[in-house]
Amino acid sequence: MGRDRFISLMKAGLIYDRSKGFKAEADSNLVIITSILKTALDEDFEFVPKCFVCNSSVECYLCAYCHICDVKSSTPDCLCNKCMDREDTFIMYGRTLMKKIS
Amino acid sequence: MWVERYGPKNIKDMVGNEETRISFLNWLKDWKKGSKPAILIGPPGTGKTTLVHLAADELGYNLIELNASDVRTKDKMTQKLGPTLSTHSLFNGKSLIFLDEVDGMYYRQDRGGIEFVQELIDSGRVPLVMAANIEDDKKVIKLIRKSKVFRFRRVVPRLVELYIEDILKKDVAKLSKESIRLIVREAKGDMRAAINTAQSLAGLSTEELSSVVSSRNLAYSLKESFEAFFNADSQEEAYKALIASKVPPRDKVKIAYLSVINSGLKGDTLIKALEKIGEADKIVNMIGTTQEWRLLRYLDRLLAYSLFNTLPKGSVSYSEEDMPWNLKVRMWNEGKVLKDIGGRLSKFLHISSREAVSIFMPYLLVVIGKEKKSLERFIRLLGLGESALKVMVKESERVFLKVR
Repeated sequence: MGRDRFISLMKAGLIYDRSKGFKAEADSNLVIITSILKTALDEDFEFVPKCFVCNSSVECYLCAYCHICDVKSSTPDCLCNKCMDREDTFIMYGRTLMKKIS
Repeated sequence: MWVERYGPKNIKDMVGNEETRISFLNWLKDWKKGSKPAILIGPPGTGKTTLVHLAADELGYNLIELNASDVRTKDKMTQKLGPTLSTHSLFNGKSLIFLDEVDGMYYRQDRGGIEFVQELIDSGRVPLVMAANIEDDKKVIKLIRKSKVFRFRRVVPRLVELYIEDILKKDVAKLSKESIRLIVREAKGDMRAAINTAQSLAGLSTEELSSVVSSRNLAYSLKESFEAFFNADSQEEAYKALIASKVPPRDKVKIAYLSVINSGLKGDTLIKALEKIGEADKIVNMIGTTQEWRLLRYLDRLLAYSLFNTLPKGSVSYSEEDMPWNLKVRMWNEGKVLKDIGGRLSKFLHISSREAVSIFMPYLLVVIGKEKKSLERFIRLLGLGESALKVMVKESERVFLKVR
């Protein structure tokens, strides 16, 4: 990837952890990050949101809103199909947030 | 109003921007005298104001709020906030000052208001929270430099749906899945808009509701329309895709242009496509000048029958990026290098790095820019590498072109 690109990625708000790899956070500029990675890897790729409740990857292609959802300009957390189908999703969502706050 | 009745009563009842909410709460918990103020930036309806209200409530702060509807001149602000600032230590009370929509403060109408905010920031006696919708405003940029920034993004559709369904459960109102999806689609990540639309649809009878849903579903968004256009199998299909979107013609030409330049098309294909878009743009402008609005109906046909034929199927996809991504990356990288050079130069010259780049560097390039060796020595002197040299060579070419 090269030193310069790595620095650009860090400046755009990407976080690097040797053991876990790269992580984008709420503050990360996903548009810039996408552009840099596209040039570096020379291929298209997409950001996959995480499920806020169970932390699994969200399968966007199964979502009814995939054609209107702009992952790059929306909040990084979403809900996976399994959690979305639960009866108590809203309660679980609130509980997960409270856990993270405490 | 549902927005008031069913708006979040607790931070855990909000949806979206989870990390930002948690870090804002931690900022307020850890606040001490002299801490930087907070500025919340993001599109409307993403929970900025609600979060400040709920956080102040939960942590026992007395919230003093000034929003865009208040007059925010220096005098008025001193009048409202003065007592808090002077008696704060006496009562040892916890007050929080919240300036909503700071991007809506104007130098003329809100005379002295912005200067007052700057003073407030410098004093650091009370936690100060500001909120703004846009961040590329000069006033907001100044405030960002002195503040801890919390960025809000649009709420993802699934979370909007989750919230709306929860409201419908509480209100015992029923809406079909189709209607809920329509609400979510139209809200575009704005929770306030979603709740308001849900309220207006919940009041309709089944017949009225089905007619609203079907008529609104007929109108495609610009994105849907252009995706269908670029993937159409025939001219006629492409034409139908374009007329399904009820957006201004100028927007259609703009999206056609942005999608084509970001597509990676090359050579003759790209030239032909741009020529066709240019023709369409000329026609839109001509209609604007001659006021012959009835001719606009032919624009979709023109785009469908001329542009569509120049594009290989599947070669272009919808894009709103105002610049090709490879150019954007180049600008981003070069800007970074220039900033580095400015930073190093500023230490030698005892001026700001911005002045070093904008005022000093053009003269320097006129003097040493013609000879690559001199440039190399200069870059070495600054302790920079190959990438800085490349940028300097490019900059000197640009300067000489201007001088000529």
